[in-house]
Amino acid sequence: MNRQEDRNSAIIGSCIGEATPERVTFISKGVPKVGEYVVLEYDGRKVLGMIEALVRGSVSITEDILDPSDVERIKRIEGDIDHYIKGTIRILGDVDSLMIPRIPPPPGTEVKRADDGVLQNIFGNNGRCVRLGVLLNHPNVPVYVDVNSIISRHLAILAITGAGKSNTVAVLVDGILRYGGCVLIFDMHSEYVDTRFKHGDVNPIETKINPLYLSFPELSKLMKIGEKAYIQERYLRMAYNETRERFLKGEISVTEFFSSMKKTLQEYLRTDQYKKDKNSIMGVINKLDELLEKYGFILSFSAPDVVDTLKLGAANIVDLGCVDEEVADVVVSHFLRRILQERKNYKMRGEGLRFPILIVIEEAHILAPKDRDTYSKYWISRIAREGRKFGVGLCLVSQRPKSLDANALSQVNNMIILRLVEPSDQRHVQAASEMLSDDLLAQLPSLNVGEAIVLGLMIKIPALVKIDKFEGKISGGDVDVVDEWRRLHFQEKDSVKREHEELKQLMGDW
Amino acid sequence: MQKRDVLLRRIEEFAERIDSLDDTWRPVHIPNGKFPAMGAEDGSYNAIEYRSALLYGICAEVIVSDEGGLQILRSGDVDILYPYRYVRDRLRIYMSIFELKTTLRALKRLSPSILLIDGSIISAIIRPLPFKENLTPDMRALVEKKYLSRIVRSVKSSEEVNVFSKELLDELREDFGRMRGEIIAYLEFLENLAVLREVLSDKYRDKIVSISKTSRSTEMFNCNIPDIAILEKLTREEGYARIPYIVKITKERKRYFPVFSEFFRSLEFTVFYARLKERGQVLKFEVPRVIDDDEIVELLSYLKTVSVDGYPYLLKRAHRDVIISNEVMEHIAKHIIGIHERKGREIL
Repeated sequence: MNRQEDRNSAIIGSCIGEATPERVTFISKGVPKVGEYVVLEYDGRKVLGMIEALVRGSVSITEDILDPSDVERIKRIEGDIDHYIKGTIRILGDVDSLMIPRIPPPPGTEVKRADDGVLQNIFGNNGRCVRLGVLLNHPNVPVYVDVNSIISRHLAILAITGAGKSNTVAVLVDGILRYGGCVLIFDMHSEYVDTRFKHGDVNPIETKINPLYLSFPELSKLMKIGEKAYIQERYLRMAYNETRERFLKGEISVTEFFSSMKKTLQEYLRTDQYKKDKNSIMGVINKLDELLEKYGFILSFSAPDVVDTLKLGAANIVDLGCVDEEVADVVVSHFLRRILQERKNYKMRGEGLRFPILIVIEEAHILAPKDRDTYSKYWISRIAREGRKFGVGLCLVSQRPKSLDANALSQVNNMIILRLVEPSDQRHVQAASEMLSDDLLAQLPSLNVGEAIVLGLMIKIPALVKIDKFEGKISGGDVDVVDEWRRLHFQEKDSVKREHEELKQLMGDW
Repeated sequence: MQKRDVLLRRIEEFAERIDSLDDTWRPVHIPNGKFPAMGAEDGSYNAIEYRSALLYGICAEVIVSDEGGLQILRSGDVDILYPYRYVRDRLRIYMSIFELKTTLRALKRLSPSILLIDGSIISAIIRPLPFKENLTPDMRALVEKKYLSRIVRSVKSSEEVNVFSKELLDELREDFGRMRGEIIAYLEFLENLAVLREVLSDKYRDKIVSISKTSRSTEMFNCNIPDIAILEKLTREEGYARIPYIVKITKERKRYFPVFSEFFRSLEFTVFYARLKERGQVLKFEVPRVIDDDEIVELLSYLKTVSVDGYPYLLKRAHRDVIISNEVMEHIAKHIIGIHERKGREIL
């Protein structure tokens, strides 16, 4: 192919109609793809754009045809049906500086396919980036995202179930581990516990909380003292403070903490002064019993402070698959509070958590729901606001973005949006992110598994990305039910056959 | 609208006058014929009138389809006419010349078996010369003697699609001075007749079929409303109705041909109305030769094969392709040529 032919093959169409500095309509002679990057050259500058929307039509087979046989006739008469492709290009900026030009492209400007070299410069690695995948429509161009920006401006990974969220998280985490970074994953479905990362170890963190590090609201929540049960809360607080004081004075040992607290409450029952609140005090005692019975397994006075369990260069995983949502809320909020506190301590006094951290919150819509308050939601919001200064980054992962707290979502400046079908989910995401244009939004239902729109400060320009397949092992995903049944069925058949043979041997020729 | 009921009643009255078609309409099931190499032509023009000139655009197209797909021949022109009288008549003639010359080119190059012409070819032949009163017999004689043979030669030998007469303007200035405006219009009229004669010559006549969607002809029923409207109202099925005689260009139809009179008077046309699809539109057909009923059905079967919604698709497609919209004209005027003349209507 000579240079002229090469140039012609790169031209995919021409700008038509009125244009603005941000958008232009074009007509194509080829078949471009949505998400494809193009270059427009005008007024002495080279400008990068992305095809946001495409319409394909035919002037022959139009909507006013009512008889299907007419279509067949037209196809027979016309041979190759003449079709047109019209689309809109979102102008992303000058190829070198990515600054939006102040002048719109004139009609007739040639639309050329952006060459891989230009795109590799834009999506390349600046030495602080993690490889996420390749551009969907330019498979030779790897896409890297900036880790600093993810930690300081947070990230949301949103998609319907099965669209590739866990794979995306795994790819991202593995990339961060490559830099010796620290990631904490709240694993709601025990997906990551057995994951093998290529660039770092998994550090499973026991879901144990040392009651000594629990704040009073955390204890209250764990005991399911209702928000309006202020009398119960008052007695719990009194008993908690008295017991804590005794413990600090050395009058009781650590293992006697809860039994001592129960004794204190029982004393209140016998005190005339509190006689009128007998029922409330009984209620607190019952809830304490219930706490120990139900959640005793996560409370351990020998458990270290959660901050001390975090390892640098590892994926620290808190397996929440075995606890209910309320406990998960307490555990997560406890971790978030302690981590933020300890990072602040480190920044201010040089004592505390030494290293920055990315906290991945799976099923974020459960822990930070839009229609009710949770402890996690409060701390998620705090970290979203303050985490930037202390090197605490959030990665909210959700399959139901519409149920996710809008305030938390709006603090997130980076997004990886995989397939999202429900319009209400799409609208919710768009409302939280001014970066997501209508045309990009329209692409969300048509993304395939593992394909994502990546936007935000972590990437120079929005991109449609085919996320890499995680090279390690991940245990998430759907269960192959048929396979499991088949395996069990054969096992059972095998065991019957074995028993039969054993019996035969035992009986001999009898 | 107090007159509403009156008007509706009057429409009904017209229809009621003929309540039976007797044997005029022949319902036939038109079979789908083989896929012929068929062509269709259409043309259009548009113009912007400025105070000092008229900018016009002309487009003509012939599409030929066979099993291999479509082949398209397209021609067009953008030019200025000075606001002499009869500009609209001249533009119609220009368009006709472009259509017919493109048709000739397609007949020579693409060899279709059938070539459909949009509109009535008889009307094209008998179209009157609108500006004859300004021309003296001497002037006409001079024009026919000096220039006609060159026009005829050009039509026969050249495949270029243009209005050849316009190239003679400078020579006309010498012969006719200020009258050259009228003279060139007359030459253009003759050129159109010359191209028509070529298209309808023995060489190509068997391929030509003209189709009209509308017609004001009342020859068949001799009623106040057009034949096509009566057939449309009183029939539904596929079929045809032919005018029971061979149509010729008699003196009643056209009193006088300035040139080629013998040729045009010798032409014979089979004229019929037909519906290609049940409940579809009735169309008028003019075939410049004598054909019998079997040949009519055979022709209709070919046409049905290439029709969509009861109308030949190629004609529809050609019609769509040649449209020159007002927006396109304005764009050509302002942005391509750079005309910023006044139209005289700006104050409205």
